[in-house]
Amino acid sequence: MKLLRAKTAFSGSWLLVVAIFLVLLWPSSVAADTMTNRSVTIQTALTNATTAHQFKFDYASATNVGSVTFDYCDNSPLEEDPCTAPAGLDVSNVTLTSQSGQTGFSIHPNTNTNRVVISRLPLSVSPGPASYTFNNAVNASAPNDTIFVRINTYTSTDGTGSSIDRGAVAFSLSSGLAVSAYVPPFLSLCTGVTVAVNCSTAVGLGVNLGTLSALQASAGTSQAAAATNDVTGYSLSVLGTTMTSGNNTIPALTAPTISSPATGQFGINLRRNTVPGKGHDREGGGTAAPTADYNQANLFKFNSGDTIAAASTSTDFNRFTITYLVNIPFGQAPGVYSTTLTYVAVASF
Amino acid sequence: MRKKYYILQRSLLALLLIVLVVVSSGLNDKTSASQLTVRSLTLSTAVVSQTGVTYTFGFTLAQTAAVQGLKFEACTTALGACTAPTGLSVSSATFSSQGSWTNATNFAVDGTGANDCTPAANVLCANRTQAANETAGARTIAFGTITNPSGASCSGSNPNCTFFVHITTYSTNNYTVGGTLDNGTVASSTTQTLTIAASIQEVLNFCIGSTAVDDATTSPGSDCSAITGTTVDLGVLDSATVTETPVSTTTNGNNKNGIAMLKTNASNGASVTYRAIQQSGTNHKGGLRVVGATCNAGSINTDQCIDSSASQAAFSAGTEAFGMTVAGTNCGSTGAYSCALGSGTNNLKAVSGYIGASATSYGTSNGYKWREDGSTDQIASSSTAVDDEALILVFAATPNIVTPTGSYQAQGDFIAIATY
Repeated sequence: MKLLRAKTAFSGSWLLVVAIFLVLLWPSSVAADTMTNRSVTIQTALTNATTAHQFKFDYASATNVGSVTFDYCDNSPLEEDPCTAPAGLDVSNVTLTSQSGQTGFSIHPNTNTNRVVISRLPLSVSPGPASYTFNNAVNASAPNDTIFVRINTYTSTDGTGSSIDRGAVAFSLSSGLAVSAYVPPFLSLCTGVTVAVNCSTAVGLGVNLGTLSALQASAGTSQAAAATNDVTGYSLSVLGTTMTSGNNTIPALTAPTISSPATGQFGINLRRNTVPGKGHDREGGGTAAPTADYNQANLFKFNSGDTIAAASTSTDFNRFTITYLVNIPFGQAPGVYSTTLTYVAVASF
Repeated sequence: MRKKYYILQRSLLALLLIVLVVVSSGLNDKTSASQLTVRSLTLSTAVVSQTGVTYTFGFTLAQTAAVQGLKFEACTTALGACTAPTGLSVSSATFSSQGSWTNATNFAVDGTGANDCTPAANVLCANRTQAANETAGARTIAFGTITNPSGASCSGSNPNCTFFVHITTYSTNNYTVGGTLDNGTVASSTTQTLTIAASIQEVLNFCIGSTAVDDATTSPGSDCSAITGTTVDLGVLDSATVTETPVSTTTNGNNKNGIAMLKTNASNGASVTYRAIQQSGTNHKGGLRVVGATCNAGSINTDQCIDSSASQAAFSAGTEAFGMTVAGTNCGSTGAYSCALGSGTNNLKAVSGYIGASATSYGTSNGYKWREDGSTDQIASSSTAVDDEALILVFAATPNIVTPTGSYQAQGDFIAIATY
């Protein structure tokens, strides 16, 4: 029985020793209070960007605060873990651009690459929200990497001693997301006796001017429509010859000229005319316009290779009505006079 | 004669032995109590100085007899003179329950006591009037409203402090010494409060990329480590159609939507915002534009900037527009809780202006929006923690017929803000 009691006492002593040992080994309780409503807003999440970081949190303890520290770590938000500075991050040159709640802080010289210290004469704080914005912070270099910022308040003015309130926030960086698209080049031209404004239809391949007479002008029309998304626009030219019949020709008008019956004349313009009563002004929503020599009502000209209409920028469709004027003198050799004209639109892209 | 004497002598000796045995047996009945066996004491809490504690005693009666009195005396040692454990108080103890007693009459706390039981802070007397025998066997009885020892009795005021309770049963309800039946001792201990400490660190995993996923259920990847890509390609735009991602590679797209995946334990929620990165050129720097191009302010079709949709709207083919919408929250990688867009159980929800179809359906029927001025615009938020929920970002554009040819580009800077 004595032996039993001795053993029991021995076991009890061991329990006591173990208990005391555990008490000694157990981490001392954390005295600091936890900040609430903590957040960090970064102006940009792009890696390596120089940007602003805004911190918000609620002070938890009603006590004197002389400094606040912001430690940037890429390994852990926990105070008991060593802090690894995020690669590329640099907050050594930040400026405190705004503060609210508890104010009067300025950047302290203890600020370094991954730690910002703001300081003031210790003043009592009331628990409640505060905000601090730092400009000129250089983001870390790793995309999609989480950066933790440990925030602590101190009674001291240099971020040393035991912290009063603490908390951590986190943000993540990225390389951004690009959206790309390609708008292909586009130039549309149609010709015919009649065409739709948007070139959806084109009808007719020839213009019959009938029997020419020295007593009155002969006139006819055809149409052309064009559009482009070339940023420099397009030019519409005419290629061909004046009207001929074998070796006999009707002289082309080399300058804008009014219609003069009994005089050999071949010319075109792109306007609505009254003499003769043919033609139509430009139609459609585009910005192309006849060039100057072909943009005068009742004045006609023809010179192969001339640009008869142009747009200086991308343009929606315009429809041009081309009036053909023919006058012949008395004694014009009989025959069938004709010409083939080609319209060419050119965009530079 | 000698033989007769020898027989007589032996008979007397045997008679004397019998008498001694009988006398010895009689003395034992009157002065020696039996040992209670299988003894135990269970405390409802062992925290030092805790009030309102229930002590439940268990023991096995050694003999069959009427049990009308119980005495519980707490001491700092099991043997020797009794010293009351500091802080212990049974003065306000109340009867709680009893179990397995042969007779149904409950014991009651006796605040007066008598003879061998005097109530004190460390002495609890309980009795009942029940003359019928209790058969030997296991019993329990519990008393509440007891205050635990403070631990001051132990060296260094160690809260892990052992104390002992002597239990005595009586055949009488006034605790006469002669009525002592069984006794025994139990031990117990108060303990310090053991604090289990742990830390949960702040979590924010947020990533932007591109994905072929175009629904709310297919996992785009287990977590952010599986999200890749930096470009979403709308391919070749045509003024006759509204082009929206994902665009097939056959039309020069990359068959990808945008994706923003978020994981955070921020209890106050999180929000996802974006801002258009300002590119080089003139005007509309944050829109879908040809980098470096000179564009005009306002809605001009003939410059190399496709108009951004300042408010959410469905696009009409041929009317210049560019925008983005959240087609839905993808729950395919969420495992921590039940998450389904169709039932609205996703935590991360698109906000007004960027809800593609509805709060519970995937699509783009509501149209698109893009804020091109470089200011941040919120596209989604959560009021609580989020586990790898992903916003599927669908982009759309349509050029005018005169929208100049070129390679157009817009860039988004996506930001997650968590409030812990």
